[in-house]
Amino acid sequence: METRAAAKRKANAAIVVVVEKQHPKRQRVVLGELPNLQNLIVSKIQNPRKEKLQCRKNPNANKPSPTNNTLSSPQLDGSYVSDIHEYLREMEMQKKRRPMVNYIEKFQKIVTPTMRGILVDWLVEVAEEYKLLSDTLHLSVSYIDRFLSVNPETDPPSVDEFCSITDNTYDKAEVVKMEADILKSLKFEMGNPTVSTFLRRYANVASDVQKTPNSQIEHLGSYIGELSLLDYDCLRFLPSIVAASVIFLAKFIIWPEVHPWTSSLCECSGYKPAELKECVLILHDLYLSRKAASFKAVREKYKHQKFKCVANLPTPPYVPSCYFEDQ
Amino acid sequence: MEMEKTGAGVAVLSAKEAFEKLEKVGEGTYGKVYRAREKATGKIVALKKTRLHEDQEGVPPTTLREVSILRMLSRDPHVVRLMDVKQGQNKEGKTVLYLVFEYMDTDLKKFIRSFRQTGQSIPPQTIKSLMYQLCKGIAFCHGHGILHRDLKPHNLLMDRKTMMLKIADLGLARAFTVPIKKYTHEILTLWYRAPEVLLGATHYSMAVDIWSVGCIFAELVTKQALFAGDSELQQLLHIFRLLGTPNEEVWPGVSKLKDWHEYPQWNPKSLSTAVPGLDELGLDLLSQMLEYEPSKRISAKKAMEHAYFNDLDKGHL
Repeated sequence: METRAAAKRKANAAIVVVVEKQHPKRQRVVLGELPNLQNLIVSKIQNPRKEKLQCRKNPNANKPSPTNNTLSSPQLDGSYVSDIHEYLREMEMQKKRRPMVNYIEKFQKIVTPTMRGILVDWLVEVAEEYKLLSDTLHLSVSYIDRFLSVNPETDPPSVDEFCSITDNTYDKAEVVKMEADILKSLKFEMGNPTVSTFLRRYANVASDVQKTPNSQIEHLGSYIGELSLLDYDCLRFLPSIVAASVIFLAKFIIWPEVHPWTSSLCECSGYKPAELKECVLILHDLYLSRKAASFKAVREKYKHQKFKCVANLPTPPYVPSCYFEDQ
Repeated sequence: MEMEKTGAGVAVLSAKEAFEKLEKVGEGTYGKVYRAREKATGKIVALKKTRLHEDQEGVPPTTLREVSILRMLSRDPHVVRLMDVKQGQNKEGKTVLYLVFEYMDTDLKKFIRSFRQTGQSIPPQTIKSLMYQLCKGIAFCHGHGILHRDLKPHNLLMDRKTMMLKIADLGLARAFTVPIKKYTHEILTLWYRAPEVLLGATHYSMAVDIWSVGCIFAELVTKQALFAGDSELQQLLHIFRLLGTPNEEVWPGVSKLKDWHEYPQWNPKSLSTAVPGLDELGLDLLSQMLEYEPSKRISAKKAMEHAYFNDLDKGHL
């Protein structure tokens, strides 16, 4: 009988294979070794929020929404942009495409939020090593959460056993079998939108209105978006809410004294600042390492010059509550 | 009897037990397509069989994309309906996947061929109806963020009785996001391939599907492929001979595309020379579908509003 570790290895390998197949001409991921992470504990939130920053109106708050042709591709017909966004918003709410938000408490006898964080942190390293798209990483995590939501009997390995995950510890036939099980379990519903799906659109609107170098908002947005994957608490938010909150926080980090939410962002995302508050505050805690401090891969990745060292950008220790009031 | 369990714990018939294969109707890259009868209901379906363990690589990427995309699109009347996905085993005990589709009795390639063989023209109103359905189906795909990338008459299924047209074979389809990622350009059957793809563009979008729709439109009228090249270079030259060799003036950025070279210089000809028999409104729509500059090419959504379709009864389509 196979060990729990072997079963989990196959599941993770198969999930990465499933996602990679949707990005052809890309090298397949082989699972590398995990460092010994048995003593990790998610750090408690410290630093009660104090409010010192004065709220200033965003000078761009009432600028008209950018036209659709700003969305980064001359070949994307503007008339489809809002159709696609509307459809993705509708799609992200479909039960079959979402993990059960409290699946760990409800079903999993062995998986804990910390263990999930360890796995995601490691997947970030895998994605970095094989130069995979951000979408691939987000989809992988989404598939894992959905798979574990509907497969309570899947026994994952203990944190100790993660250490023994190395290349070639399973054969292809086992991975193929696991892939089939995953596809069957998810009923081939593989097309769910993720945080990165929405991030692109919101980042374009944000940088267009603010006249910021697009890459800074994009890199910072990708960084905070990947931090959100580490936190099991973020599962309760729709991907579009997380993406909107990511942009809100990214803009706050770059211009802490200017209201981050413009009418353009409000219009294109459909969210008011008050609706983002809870998620923004969680992301802010993640950014300041008040949550998930022990997971290093994402933070290390975004300290590189390649990503404009966005992980080193300072931020005030709190977000003024007036930023969450409607303008 | 061979049974398999569903997630809900209900026993369901395996593919072998549930269907009776009637005849092989085609063969694709990853397996055969059969006309089959569902034993429980007597309903005729198309079974697309996919070999899984061929090279130990698991579910082929085309199957994975096709199924997940059809899961999103199958509710549209102009996209072929995926009714079920079943797992089974072949004679050697290898796992096979069966995609169960609604059965359509012909495709546009066979339909055009039947008119060519009898020397008859396809009635203009039939062409109009088929084109409207095609634009409607493609607009639905594009509005849901899906590029087909392999539109050709063979991939457009039809029901002879109702003249209903449905888009099929989404194995090369791609769900796109904003902005567009770099895509591979080794896609799409040569004759229906857009010039930007032939010239090596890796950033492309729904305009590639519209070019294919334009080529299909012309083929419905003449019963011959509009641009029938036998290599990428020949394909480009066929296009240039009719539409003129593009330059920076008509298509800004064309000379910077990866595979751009100095080509023979041709002046554009009137489309009516290549597609005689198409009325003025039809030629206007066709010219907008065959615009060189992708961003200027008409969208499927806008095409549906074109005056060419004004006299069409759209109620039942």
